[in-house]
Amino acid sequence: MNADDLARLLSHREADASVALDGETQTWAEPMSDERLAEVRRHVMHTGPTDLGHVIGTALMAPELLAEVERLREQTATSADTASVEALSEVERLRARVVQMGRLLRRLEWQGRSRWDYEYPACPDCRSIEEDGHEPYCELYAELREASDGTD
Amino acid sequence: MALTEDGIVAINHELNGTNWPSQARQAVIDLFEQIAAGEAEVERLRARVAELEAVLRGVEWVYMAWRGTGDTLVVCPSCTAKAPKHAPDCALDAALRGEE
Repeated sequence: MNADDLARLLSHREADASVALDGETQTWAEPMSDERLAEVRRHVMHTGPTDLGHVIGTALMAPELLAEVERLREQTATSADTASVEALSEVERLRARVVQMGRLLRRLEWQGRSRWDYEYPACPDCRSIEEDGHEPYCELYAELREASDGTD
Repeated sequence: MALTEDGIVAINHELNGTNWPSQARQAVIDLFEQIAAGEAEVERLRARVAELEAVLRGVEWVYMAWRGTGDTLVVCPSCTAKAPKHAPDCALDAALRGEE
């Protein structure tokens, strides 16, 4: 479930509340205002569990929405990092940056020069030549291994 | 990343006084766990970016013999510009500045 889903639920909840308060049958209330939507997003992203629990709890208050909540929950269960639109965007930005830097590191792997011969290509970090391979302590090599083991 | 015991207690406290079925309570807890997992992934990636930045920063300038003269210079291994300035299109400089 993301912030938009929550906003939709809250919108429904507000419609229910207006029915109860007015004692009259009404159609859905007006769509949530931009300000209210921004407020919900702020809650989702920046408040502690108790405040967020209150927001979600409000959304869940109408029992007929429970099925919808469950549907949305299952819909998003396969991607835990989509908890919010903002978080997903940040995850994507960081992943792209990690990929970019990993590629650059790979390209620079033998663009340094040997400590013995400044014309001979070597690792810019440990300064070993390619035939000899990296030194055990080479940080550039360690990062390349980490990048290629699939965790990035 | 799972919610802590305290986190679950806080959520249940928030939900106390309602007559919601356990399914609704679980949905809320699951949602918190999704959010926590998303935040954990952001933290992991930030740490990874910091690691890569540190290594790239460490190889930003290298000794190199300049073609022709054989003079030893300190240059960027990516754009081969002399320190301390990169070429305008240097990929290493862009990466260190957080640009695409």
